[in-house]
Amino acid sequence: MYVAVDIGGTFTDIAVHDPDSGRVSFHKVLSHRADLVGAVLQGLDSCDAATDSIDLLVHGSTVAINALLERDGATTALVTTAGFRDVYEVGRINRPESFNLAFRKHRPLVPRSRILEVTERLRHDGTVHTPLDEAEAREAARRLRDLGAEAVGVVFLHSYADPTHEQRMAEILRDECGPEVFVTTSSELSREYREFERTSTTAANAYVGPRVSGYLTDLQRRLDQRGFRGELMLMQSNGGLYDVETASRQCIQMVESGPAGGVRGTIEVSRQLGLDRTIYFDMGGTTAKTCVVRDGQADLSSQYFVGTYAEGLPVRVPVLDITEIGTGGGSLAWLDEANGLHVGPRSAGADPGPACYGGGGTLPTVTDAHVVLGHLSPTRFLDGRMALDVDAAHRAIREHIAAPLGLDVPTAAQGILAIANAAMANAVRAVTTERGLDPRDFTLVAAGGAGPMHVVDVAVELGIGRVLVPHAPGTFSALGMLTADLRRDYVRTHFVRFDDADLEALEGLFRELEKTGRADVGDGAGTACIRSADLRYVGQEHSVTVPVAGPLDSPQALAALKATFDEVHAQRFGHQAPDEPVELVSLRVSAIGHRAPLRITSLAKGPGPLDQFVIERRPAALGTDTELRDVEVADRALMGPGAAVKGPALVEEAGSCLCLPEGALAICDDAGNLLVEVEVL
Amino acid sequence: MTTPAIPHSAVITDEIIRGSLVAITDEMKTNLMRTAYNPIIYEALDYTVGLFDANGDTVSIGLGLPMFIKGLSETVKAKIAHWGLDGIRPGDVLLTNDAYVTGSHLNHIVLTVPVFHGGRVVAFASSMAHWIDIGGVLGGRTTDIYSEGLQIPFCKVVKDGVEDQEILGFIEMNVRRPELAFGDYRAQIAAIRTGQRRLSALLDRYGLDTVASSIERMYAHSEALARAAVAQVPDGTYSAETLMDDDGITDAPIPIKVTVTVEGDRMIVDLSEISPQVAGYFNSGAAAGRSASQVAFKCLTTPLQMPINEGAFRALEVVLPPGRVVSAERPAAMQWWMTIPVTVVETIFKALATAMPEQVHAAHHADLNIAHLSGIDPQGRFFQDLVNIPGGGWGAGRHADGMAATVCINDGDTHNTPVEANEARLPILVETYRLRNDSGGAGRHRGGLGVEMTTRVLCTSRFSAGIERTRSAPWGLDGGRAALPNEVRYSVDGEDVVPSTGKIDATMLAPGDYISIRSGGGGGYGHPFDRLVEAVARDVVEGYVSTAVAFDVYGVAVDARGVVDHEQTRRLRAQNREVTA
Repeated sequence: MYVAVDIGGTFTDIAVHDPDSGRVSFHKVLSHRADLVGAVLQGLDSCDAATDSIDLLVHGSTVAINALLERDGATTALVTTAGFRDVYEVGRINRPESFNLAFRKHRPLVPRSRILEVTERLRHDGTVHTPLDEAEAREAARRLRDLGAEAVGVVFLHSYADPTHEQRMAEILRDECGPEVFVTTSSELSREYREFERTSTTAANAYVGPRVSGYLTDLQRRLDQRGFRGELMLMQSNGGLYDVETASRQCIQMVESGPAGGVRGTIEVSRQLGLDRTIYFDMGGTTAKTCVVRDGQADLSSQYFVGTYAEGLPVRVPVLDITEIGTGGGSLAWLDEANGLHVGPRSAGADPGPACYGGGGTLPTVTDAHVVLGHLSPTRFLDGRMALDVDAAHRAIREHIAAPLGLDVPTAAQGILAIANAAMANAVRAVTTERGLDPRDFTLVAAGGAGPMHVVDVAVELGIGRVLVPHAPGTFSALGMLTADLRRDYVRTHFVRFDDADLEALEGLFRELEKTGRADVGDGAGTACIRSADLRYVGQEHSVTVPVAGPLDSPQALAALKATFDEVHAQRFGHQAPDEPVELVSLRVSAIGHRAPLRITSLAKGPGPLDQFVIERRPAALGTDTELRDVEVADRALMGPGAAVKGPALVEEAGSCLCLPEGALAICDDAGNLLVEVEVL
Repeated sequence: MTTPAIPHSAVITDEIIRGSLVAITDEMKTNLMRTAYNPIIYEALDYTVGLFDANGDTVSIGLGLPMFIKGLSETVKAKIAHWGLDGIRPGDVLLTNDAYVTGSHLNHIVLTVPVFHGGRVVAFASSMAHWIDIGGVLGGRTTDIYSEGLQIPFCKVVKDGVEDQEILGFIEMNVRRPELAFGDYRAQIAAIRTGQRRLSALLDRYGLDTVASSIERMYAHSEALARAAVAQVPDGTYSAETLMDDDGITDAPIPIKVTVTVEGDRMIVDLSEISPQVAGYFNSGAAAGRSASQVAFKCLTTPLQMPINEGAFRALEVVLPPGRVVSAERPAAMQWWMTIPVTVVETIFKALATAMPEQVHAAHHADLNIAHLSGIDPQGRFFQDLVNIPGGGWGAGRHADGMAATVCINDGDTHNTPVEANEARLPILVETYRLRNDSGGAGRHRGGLGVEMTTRVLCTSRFSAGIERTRSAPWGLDGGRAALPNEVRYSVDGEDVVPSTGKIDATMLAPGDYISIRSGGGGGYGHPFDRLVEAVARDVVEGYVSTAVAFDVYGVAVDARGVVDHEQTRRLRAQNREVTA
């Protein structure tokens, strides 16, 4: 049996695959934040897989991101190069909110008093300018022990070029502080230049390290007690899996595992359906996320902010290139002092939640707009586990939006959704048109509780003609985790102009990264190493990642790579400079240990007559309608392969609902996915 | 692709169009930043992109450089006046760097494309970016515009879709690094073409009438929000005066006097009494003087309202006769145009400190603290660059301490350059980049700390600096103390130099010589005796404040480990609050 357990803020999602029967089943239980290991075990109890029959358990955990967001990590210290203690606090000095006099930049995870300097210095090419002062290093280690540090990060300047000093410092720390102190170096997490970003990454890894490694040890132990004999793997932000031992040291790699599961799920359904261009579109309670998948792959971004760009902490590890905006089901609709209407980024959150949840919320949200427009059944929401207060939703929108603007309530509600949809369409444009891609060439894949409610309208806004609502969109990340490959990504900064490049050295570096990759993910037949390089024109700062097709062993190979770079630059930014010299910034290798694709059987049911899955007709306003009229409501659980629903209509499932405006046609495929043809003007 | 009219009420359409315009200018901004060829653009973000209506008024602006809030619109307007709307055709790209139009220096290249709809010009997309070199004297003192480089009058660098190679040839022969200049030129054109394309698509989708009336309502909306904020300020006339160090030619300080009048929901900033234009290169044009007033106004009224557009400033009137240091006329030297407007903004804040105590912070380090290096590196390649933008302290406010190490007011999202990137690009070794302890002004809320950045050159290098506010320290408010001001030290052939000013003419440094820039802190807010004892003790433990300053200025007897002698502290704080300073 293969099992994936994805812990989220509110729910723990479980996906179980039985390779013998080919069946996949999904389960959802409430998460207990106080006991995350307990939540995993409880999740396993809720499904029919006996712990001792599990061959592979994939786990996506919020333990790292929660510790960062809630500032609930270890007593952490840093050791830096002499003269650079304050790199972490100084940061990049920018004020993105340029006119906000009260703006606050990032808040470090480590106070200045626990940042110590040690004499040592490298130059940018990795040569030693000043050797590591061992006596000072030992003295610093002792001081940190006396200060009660539970975790220590080591960040030396230019260590991306040579990690020897950092590694020696780590040895001394382990020696002086003992095994109970978590020690991490910047070079084991990131071999890219930019000292503040690397410092922030290292500090974050140290800060969450003791908590994450303790959690994993506890999880493994309690699983073993229950007879678990399979393999435990963790989901990383790059969409791949890694083992417990590595995860216990490089904890920060799992920081965005949930969304990565969703992208991985998109890759999987795209493969199953033979779609080579899809866009992941996930809308939950507070945010919407989107990411492009082409030919079975999503791009990686090398930086991620814990929090927002303006005041967040940068983490420089490979993260799937996901754009996130503050529009979700809980986003508040509000009027400013001059009666301008806005939606989000403020959110009603889980507490008090949307007005219709009856949890004391009185302010209108996106979900309240759906309730007013008849999109959600007041009695069947979450399989009837939560009754929705329609009057409260009406009241919230009337009092706060419709009355002050002189609109009727459905028009105001439709306006709230239109604004949310326009914002999400702009987010999709940010990952497509801004990168030289045309969204109309893609299929939009909906996930998350609110995704199916908005996906068709967002598609219309973008001119996208095809939408896919996968089977069980609310547990889509768990499905993605179930199908993920083992994966590690390696980056090595190596500045050299193409004119000056030593081909043997470059090829040697690539081989070294590949060797590490094969050692980390296993050297089996399924292992593949994919090369790429970050390039720029001489003078530029920002680089573009370009695939490296074959060995870089001849001037012709280098010239071909340069030509590819020119093309990619032109596609992405609209211009190129083929006559200008090019510079290499970093080499990249992705080592992927491919797992055999899951063999998933079709749904058993055949297409039933319409009346078998249409359960009622109720008034609703869909698309740009502002008047409610009776539409068909289908129960997705009753739809078999071939079943079709034509808009205007609603397709309900636990916790969500697919809104089909007029002109949209949804058809259920053999695997239970709904394919929606959208009328594009 | 045209779709039928969208049946939303205006308020909803307005918000959708507002979001789309912000997204377009954001995309233009990212496109330019990610493909630029010099760090003044991609790190310092000394560039600005925007969309403008057919009058040249700002529809949405992607900053970049807050100080260019007005310069782009004024340049687009000047271009419209030059050619007339009838003289502009779909395939044109309009160029200039006229310093007296942009209000700034010749490095600022402004490119503009028209947006056509239904056969006529309905809007413009434009970008300004700072080229690393535009010719002129290298690192030296200038006293007129002619020594500052190539002046490019209004011209069509692309005419009816055909690039004018003769114009490009003039540029190529007059700049030191044409390959960088043309890289930035391509990045600028790609950015404005993106804006042109996206705005056209928006017009196709919603129709010109819908978009135009939404834009008009957006102006009115921004205006209403700003007027509501001004109406909260007590009516009256408020003035303040500050001194700049000197103009680099004579030793005389430059007075910056402003008078602000608030009448109901409008504000008048009068800069008539500011210094006349000066002999040195610290002049800027009228667009800069008005921009400084607008930056201050935006900060105080609607700091988070986006997009920044024409309407946001309708409640502001700026009185600025020509010939002042921020409304200079040809042939005034403009190279260091950005320096004085920072203090103009701060002086407007200072004038309004008592009228707007919730908004106004104490003064900050108020300068970019820029030094330049050039030379031939050991590989035989010419280099020319900033040493860095180190950042400095931010002033404390009524409710919070000032931030340490941030960029000055007119330079928003400007980043420093990572030491690791700088050492890979330039023949330098940075010795330290650290906070400057005790540099923040004392107060109930403490001002932020400045930094110290010490850099050694690894080969013979030409060094110059134009650092201001080394004499007039960042002031405190409401009993808060001043911070340490900016300062520069260096060595020549191993001999330490302690200059009396921050303005250093081109000086040759030998390998191993150093440049040490120490930026000022931010002023304090409220009397230091009113700062919580625990906060002072924590500052001592973290090293932001020394035990001596804690004792002498804050009246807190605390040791380095943070242990407070409460009895002695009580006695210290019972002293006359006015004698400790």
